[in-house]
Amino acid sequence: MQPRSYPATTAASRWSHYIKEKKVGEGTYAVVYSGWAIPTPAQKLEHELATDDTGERDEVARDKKILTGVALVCEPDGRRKIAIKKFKIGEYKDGMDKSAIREVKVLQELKHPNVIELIDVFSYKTNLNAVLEFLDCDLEVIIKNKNVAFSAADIKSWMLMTLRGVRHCHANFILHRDLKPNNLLLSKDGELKLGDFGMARDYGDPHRKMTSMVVTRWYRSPELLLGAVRYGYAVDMWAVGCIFAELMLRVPFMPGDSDIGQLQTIFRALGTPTEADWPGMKYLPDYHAFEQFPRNPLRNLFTAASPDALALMESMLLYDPLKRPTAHDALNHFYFRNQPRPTPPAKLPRDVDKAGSKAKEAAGVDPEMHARGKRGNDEDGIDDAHAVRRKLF
Amino acid sequence: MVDPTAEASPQPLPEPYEQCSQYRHWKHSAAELQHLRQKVNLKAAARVRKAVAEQQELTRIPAPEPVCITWDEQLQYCQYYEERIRAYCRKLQFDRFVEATALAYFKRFYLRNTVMEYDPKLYLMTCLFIATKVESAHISLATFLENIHKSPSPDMMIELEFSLSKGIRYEYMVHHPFWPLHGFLLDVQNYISSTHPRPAHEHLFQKLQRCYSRAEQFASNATLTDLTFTHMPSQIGLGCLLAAARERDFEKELEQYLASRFHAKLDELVKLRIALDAVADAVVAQSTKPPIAKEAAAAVFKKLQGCLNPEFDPESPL
Amino acid sequence: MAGIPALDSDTCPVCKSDRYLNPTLRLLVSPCFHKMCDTCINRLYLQGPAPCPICRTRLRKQDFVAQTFEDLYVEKEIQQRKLIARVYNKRPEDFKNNLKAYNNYLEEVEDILFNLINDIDVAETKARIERYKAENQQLIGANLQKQMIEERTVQGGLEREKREKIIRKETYEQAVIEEAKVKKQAKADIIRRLAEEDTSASDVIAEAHARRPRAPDIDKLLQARLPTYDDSAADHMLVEADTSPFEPLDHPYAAVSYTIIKDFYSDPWQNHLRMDEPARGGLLKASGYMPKFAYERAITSAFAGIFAGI
Repeated sequence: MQPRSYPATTAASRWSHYIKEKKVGEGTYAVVYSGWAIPTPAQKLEHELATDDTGERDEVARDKKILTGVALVCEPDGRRKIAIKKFKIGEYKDGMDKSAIREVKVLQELKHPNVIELIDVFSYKTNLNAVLEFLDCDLEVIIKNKNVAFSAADIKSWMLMTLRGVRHCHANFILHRDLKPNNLLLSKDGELKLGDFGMARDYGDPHRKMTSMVVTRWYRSPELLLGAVRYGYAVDMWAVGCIFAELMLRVPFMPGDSDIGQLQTIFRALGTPTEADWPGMKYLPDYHAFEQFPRNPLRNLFTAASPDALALMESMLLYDPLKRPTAHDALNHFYFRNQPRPTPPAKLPRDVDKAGSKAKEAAGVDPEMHARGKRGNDEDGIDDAHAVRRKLF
Repeated sequence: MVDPTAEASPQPLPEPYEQCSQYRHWKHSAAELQHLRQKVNLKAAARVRKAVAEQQELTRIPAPEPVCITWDEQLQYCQYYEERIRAYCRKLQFDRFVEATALAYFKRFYLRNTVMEYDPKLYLMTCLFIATKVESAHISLATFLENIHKSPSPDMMIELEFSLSKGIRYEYMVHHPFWPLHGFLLDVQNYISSTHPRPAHEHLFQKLQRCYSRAEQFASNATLTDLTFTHMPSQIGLGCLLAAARERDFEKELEQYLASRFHAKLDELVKLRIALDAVADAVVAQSTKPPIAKEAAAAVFKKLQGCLNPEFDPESPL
Repeated sequence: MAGIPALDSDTCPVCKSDRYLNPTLRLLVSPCFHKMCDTCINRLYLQGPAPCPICRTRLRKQDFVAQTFEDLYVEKEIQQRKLIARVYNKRPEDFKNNLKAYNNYLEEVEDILFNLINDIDVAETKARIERYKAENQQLIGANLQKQMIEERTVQGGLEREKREKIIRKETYEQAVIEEAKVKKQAKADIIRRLAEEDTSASDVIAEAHARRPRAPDIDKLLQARLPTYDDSAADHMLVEADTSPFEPLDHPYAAVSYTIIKDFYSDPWQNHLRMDEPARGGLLKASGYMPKFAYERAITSAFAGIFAGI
């Protein structure tokens, strides 16, 4: 594929144009390419003045990161590695794809070190393109790579960064609604960033009902599975709890094989909830009498977890959504202040097997397929999932 | 030696509102607005004249020197169409968020573009359609076009969507005064409960509620004005409440509330009062302003025919 | 023991040259455990990958390595043990210290190893391994983690020893240099005195002796330079003990400092929800909805940037 060049539009003060090089991933509603952002001459000059061979660049970059919350990661000549996400035209002939608009709308407003950075947007021949920072790895790849070992400090560091990103979204009253390891992207400096905001939307509006067919099945909270249409921050916190568990187990914690089956899987793992556990659950649209499973102490499954880690994880996986901590509460949990200290991002384990590393910026999945929870070509994951189930039951 | 990878002690990030696109790119003073509109208009006029001249050379059809629209004619013309947007929202039963967002897009687009090159009739539809997507009130394109008078073809809509999106810098999130206004309703309620004795609550809450209803109307009016550029949504919301308070005999209580809430920021409060007065005057003026007459719009339309930029005409040789 | 030469023959099986004729003969071994002299390797693999002359496994020149053990059988056993240990890594504590059960487990592992090394029932044994792996997945993972952490600790200990050695050496060298300097100075002093002063030679020397500074106390110096370590908790060792204040909250989000947000208001926007009715209220709460979300959103936006731009 020949590299193509596109002029910068809204970020034209900083970048002169973008070069699209090669395809790195594809989803149902977007294709992702890697490429370069070429600076304007003025920007290049500023960059040269700010950097020199004594490594001052790191200082400047770090200071800028502190001040603006957004890291500057450029090559010596001022170029920056980028990902270009090209949104496909919606099939339903409704014009611009709603998910594309949604993702662009949200990323324009959320600027945070733990949220993927939107650099620019441009359109070319009725295709909407988003220029994003380039992130070549995601948490799913690292979890699955058996050659990489995690320590408790590593897990804590990833959880810390995830929760900071989630907190930023919630503080702006935006729910991500598709948190999973595949959407937690990692930079080469080890920073974790939330990605793929195609399902994101605002919440807290009493006039608006939302769809319950959101979040990839294995990470979908019980209230969503029971058809809740007015929900809140807790759906994201449940997903974070599932991710926490997965970091410890190295396999997905509750991998159901269908939407009906997902609830069963959850009940088997955590016990069927009672009215006392979850007041009002009987009023949920898809509620019916469930098979009763006993509650298993999670301590038996998560043998390597420290008590504070287990406490936090359990709280995020409570049935009653209002009892789950907010991202702010989670960050204040003593888990993060106890030893061991979270590993500094640069020292986190990296995916050493480059041949196995997957698609870079996660291309999104069509919302309908999302709800059915297709995990893509994931043979390994499904086998492991069966193994976990066997172990649990 | 400082480990460069260690956690730096957290510096405060900018205030949340400072990160939103509305504040960063779409905030202008009244003077700036006028300057921008004039500049855009003059540049556009130059382009139009040049293009007409070129076309004349190519086609050998003599055409009179184009008499271009002025910036205030454009402003009036756009205001006419903004009122059309409102009418469509009522007809299609879109809520005030969709309406306000569509209006914001329209205003922003024509702040930096000219009606001599972009047809407001087409763009108002586009603003509405995208607004429904952005504000989670999506309807299908087919349904939408059925209800629009002289609607464009679906294919054209997609191109218009892209053109509009580019014109608004792909910054789809717009903040309106409705949430802040509601926030003040709640907070004033809180203030009343904590500073007045119980027996007085009932009466005061009712006054507050009446005040709020009026303020909601003002807030809707505000979205038709330039206030969306010149002031923060929170200031607009509070200004609407103030304007309503003056009408509904609640001003005294509101002043007390402000003095109490901002007792630690008295200098800023003085400046804020000036801003609130400006907002209140603007919304009151808007509510008493008559709608733009159809004839006035028609006149501009006629003039426009003589100064459309041929570069934007698909049928022109350019 | 099919396929593995039990004795180390000093003959290359391909060209049949031996040490007697060719004293510099160097035999290397392939991943399929077949030997070849370096001349043959160069000859056969110069052009690129080619099949092994004995078993036809596809090989490249770089796949040939020097033998670690005389006996190729041992070499293979070591390799298999390493691979198996990644799967069969249970520890005595996993058997709740039931020694009998642990021993049975060890026997089973030996059984499997025997089969693999000697190419007996390979397919069935491999299936057995897969089954074990599937059933014990989590424990395997957990033990692997423990092992890696232990290795790092051991590594940390080794590195610490290395560092200490260096410090000791430096300190000692330093002390020796110091002492030499002092001695030289003393000598120079004696000579000067003998030359310049009137006192007798023996007196000068006696005084110098008395005045001579004591040899530097190496132990004291070492104590000062060598850091002391706290051995408790492996993870502490891995990260330099960091007791600086750590703040997980990266940003205060002090959106509303002018007022507080209560849990209940009389809110016209939420009347339609009828939260006081048990069914409606119950449903909303069970869904994870709280009226407070709307209060927070409203009041936060009410004060957001209230003083901006004026």
